[in-house]
Amino acid sequence: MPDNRQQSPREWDFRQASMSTKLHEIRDPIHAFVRLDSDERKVLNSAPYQRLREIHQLALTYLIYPGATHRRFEHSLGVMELAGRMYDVVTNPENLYDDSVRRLVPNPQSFDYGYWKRVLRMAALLHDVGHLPFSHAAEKELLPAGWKHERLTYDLVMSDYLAPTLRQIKVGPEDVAKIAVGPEKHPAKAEYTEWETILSEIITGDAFGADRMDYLLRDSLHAGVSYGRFDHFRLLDTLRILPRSREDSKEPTLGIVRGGLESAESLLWARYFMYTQLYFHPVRRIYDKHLKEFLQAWLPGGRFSTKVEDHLRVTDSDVLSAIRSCDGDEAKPGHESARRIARREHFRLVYEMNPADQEVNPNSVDLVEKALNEKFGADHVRRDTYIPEVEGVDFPIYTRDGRILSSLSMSKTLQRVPDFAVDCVYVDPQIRNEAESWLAERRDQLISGNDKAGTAK
Amino acid sequence: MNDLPLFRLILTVAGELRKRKSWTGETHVQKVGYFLQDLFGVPLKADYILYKHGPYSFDLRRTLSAMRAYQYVDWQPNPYPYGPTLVEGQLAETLKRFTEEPAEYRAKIDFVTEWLGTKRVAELERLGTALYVTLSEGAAPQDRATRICELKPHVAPAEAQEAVAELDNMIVRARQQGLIANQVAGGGAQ
Repeated sequence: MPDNRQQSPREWDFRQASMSTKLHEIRDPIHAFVRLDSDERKVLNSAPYQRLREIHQLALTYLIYPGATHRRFEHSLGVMELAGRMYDVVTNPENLYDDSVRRLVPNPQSFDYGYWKRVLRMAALLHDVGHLPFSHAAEKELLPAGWKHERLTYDLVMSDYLAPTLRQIKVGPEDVAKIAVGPEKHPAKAEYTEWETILSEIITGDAFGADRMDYLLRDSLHAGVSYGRFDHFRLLDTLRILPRSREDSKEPTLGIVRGGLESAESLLWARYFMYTQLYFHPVRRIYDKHLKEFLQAWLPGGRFSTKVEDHLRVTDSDVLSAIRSCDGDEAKPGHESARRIARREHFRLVYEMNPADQEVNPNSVDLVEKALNEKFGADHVRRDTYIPEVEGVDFPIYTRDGRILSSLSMSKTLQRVPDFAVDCVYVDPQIRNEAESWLAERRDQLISGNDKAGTAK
Repeated sequence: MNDLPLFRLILTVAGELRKRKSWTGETHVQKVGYFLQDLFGVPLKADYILYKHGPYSFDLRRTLSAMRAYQYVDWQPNPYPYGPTLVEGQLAETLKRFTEEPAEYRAKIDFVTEWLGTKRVAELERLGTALYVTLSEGAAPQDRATRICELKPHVAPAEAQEAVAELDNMIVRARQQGLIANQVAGGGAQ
């Protein structure tokens, strides 16, 4: 047998490697089995991946939904499984309907076909390894300027913790890192080929990304919130790479054949309901805020280190232990926030953005927050504003008569899927009753009192 | 805390596109936004990358999503082969009541929407890519056309040359009207 160790992954025969490895099965509550071979298992057994056993998928959500204690570990396995299945469907020659797509997709008999499938699966498996403890969304405040968890993911994949293993199993770490983080979040703004962009879309795509599909199904199961369920088996079978067909443009993207439309509608409504019922639950959101404040007080310099060695050392277990410790000692940094988390003394919602008030004044939440700050002091008031990064209701559909149409022109249901935003004001539980009464007496006056440039009417 | 002046700016751009009989799809808004920000210096708080068929901003997409959440805009479906049109939402008038029109950018918005508003999608993709190559690499027209074909193999050499020529013409005209600085690449030496 020739010695391939000095060859680059692309020069090596991927199919030969596949034949020499054993297939392993891991039981999974969503996908029944997640399958991977002995080579892929080496990546699973790496320190960055094993760390995900100690990163909760939904942060402190288990304080509200007790079942939501699942971790990034099993989610990432699910994403790998789904991404592999999606790859098989969308690259099947029978499912390629347009020359603009055929020229992108490798022939199933080619080296490239197997190579990119493995790259995709490894990218899917590793796409979350850069997550901070508790999958924390407040990366802007908890990481240095310009950093996001995707950059940590990129650095980890390229580091000595993963790159040698990836090279050993004959995939290029740069290819895996690129597909895992996607074109938007690539730290060097690398240029992607259309094929690389499509592969990345299979993992992180808005409508049909494997990441989104898995987390909706998994979060729904564990939290006991049934809104997240949809027929993902049907959806998977109907996925295709299609040209968007806008006038004369043929930009390729993930779409579906007509038979999958109802499953797609179901997915996109599931996403809407999961956001409104679970991800944006006001108590979950305020716990996130208390956790962020705790971390800012507890961490040296108020931020996480971006060194991969340091990143691997800190997990939810360390943070939970620190919260317990700081809760019990008033002198310790972060005691106040630790107490609010440990003893459920979180701030309480007193006002949230609503269309009626927005119609009177788009600054309604600003005005309420400012008034409460002035009356009760900023220490007793918190504001939470968040607009989710969700899109994707407009995708191409291959119709039964062979045309490619926009989903929005095919589905009145999809036209009605709302975008949504959260903008809430909370107060210290000690002043909750007083604040609610005070606000009820003057809310309408507060909101109607200003117009353009903040001048009184 | 929502960014009302930015929302008003984008609402104005979309309105000007529609006024010029553009079908104002996402590609039009994205590419017009790219020209306005990266060539004309209109701040849209949008980081652009070279995406599948030309420059694209996920930031701008998020801003549009936020505007839809606040009901300032909405997407209206169109018959084949057009994608949805960006139209004013139920609370667009409220936004206008509470914000100033972006008068300082009016001439630039007029110029760009007039030039690009009724172009077809593939043409916008090529022009956008031509601007990306021009701003990132400069170089002679033929070299820029070659680079476009390297980056986007689906673009034919003649189409790339045409896109570079049109872009240079646009830059010359914009300079003549004092809308962009002389040192911006493209359009010949100044």
